[in-house]
Amino acid sequence: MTSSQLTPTMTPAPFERAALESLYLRLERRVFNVVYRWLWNEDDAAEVTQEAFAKVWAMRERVKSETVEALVFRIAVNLASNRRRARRLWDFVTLEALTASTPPPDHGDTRRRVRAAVDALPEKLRRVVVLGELSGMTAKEIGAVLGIPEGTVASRRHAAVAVLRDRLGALMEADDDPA
Amino acid sequence: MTRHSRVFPELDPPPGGLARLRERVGLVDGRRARLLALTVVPSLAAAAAAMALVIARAPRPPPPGLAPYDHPSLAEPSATAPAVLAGGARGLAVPIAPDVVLYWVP
Repeated sequence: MTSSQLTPTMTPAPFERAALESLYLRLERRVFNVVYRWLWNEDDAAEVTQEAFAKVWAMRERVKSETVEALVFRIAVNLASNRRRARRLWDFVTLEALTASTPPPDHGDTRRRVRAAVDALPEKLRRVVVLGELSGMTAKEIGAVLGIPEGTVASRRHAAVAVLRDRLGALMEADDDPA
Repeated sequence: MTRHSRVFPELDPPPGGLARLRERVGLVDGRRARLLALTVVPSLAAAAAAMALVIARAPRPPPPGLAPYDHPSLAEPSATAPAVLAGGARGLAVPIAPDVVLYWVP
């Protein structure tokens, strides 16, 4: 009788602590940058980034290694969107938006314009364009994150870029555009 | 995909993220253990207690020599036929003890 017959076959745990840490090191910067475009605050973006990975860890029994990256981005975007909605509601209730008349000192004119333009995008366009710019994922992967077909990703991204180009003008020139 | 890095510049996340994540993951695990202790353990204990109660109250076999559902009777059936009672009504008079008679009147 061989040892394999004596011991039951042990399937490896789907998601170990080391795998989470390695995933974090690989994705932290990208997730942070994506989430920042919802919250526009570094502390909040770092907090939401952490929360997304903690949630993935909490559901690790159901996590598959081949889809974990998409899962992290999906959770992060949903958390950021919820937090942004809650903050807007809070600002409305406390009238903070009316009293906050001066912008933070580190926000230059360009950053303010970009923020206003991105904020004005409808949620579904913002998701596609921000993930497309900062997640490093392909259109197919973004489609998997958002649960939409690849073609819809492309058309929404095209629409979002058109709106941003309209609002931001020359700022929105692509990196590989012959300017 | 084409990038627009002037509109979407890459920012550096605050340092120390991995250490904070390790701390947070430890909290998640601690919360799981507490949840287990607070919910699963009492549930199992309650289930075990219910099982013990059911087993303790299960019907026991009758004592030797006594058939199931057999029980001693106070009154033996009287061999006497329905008798005419006082007032003319017909009924059954069953003596159940000396000087004690049980009357049944339909």
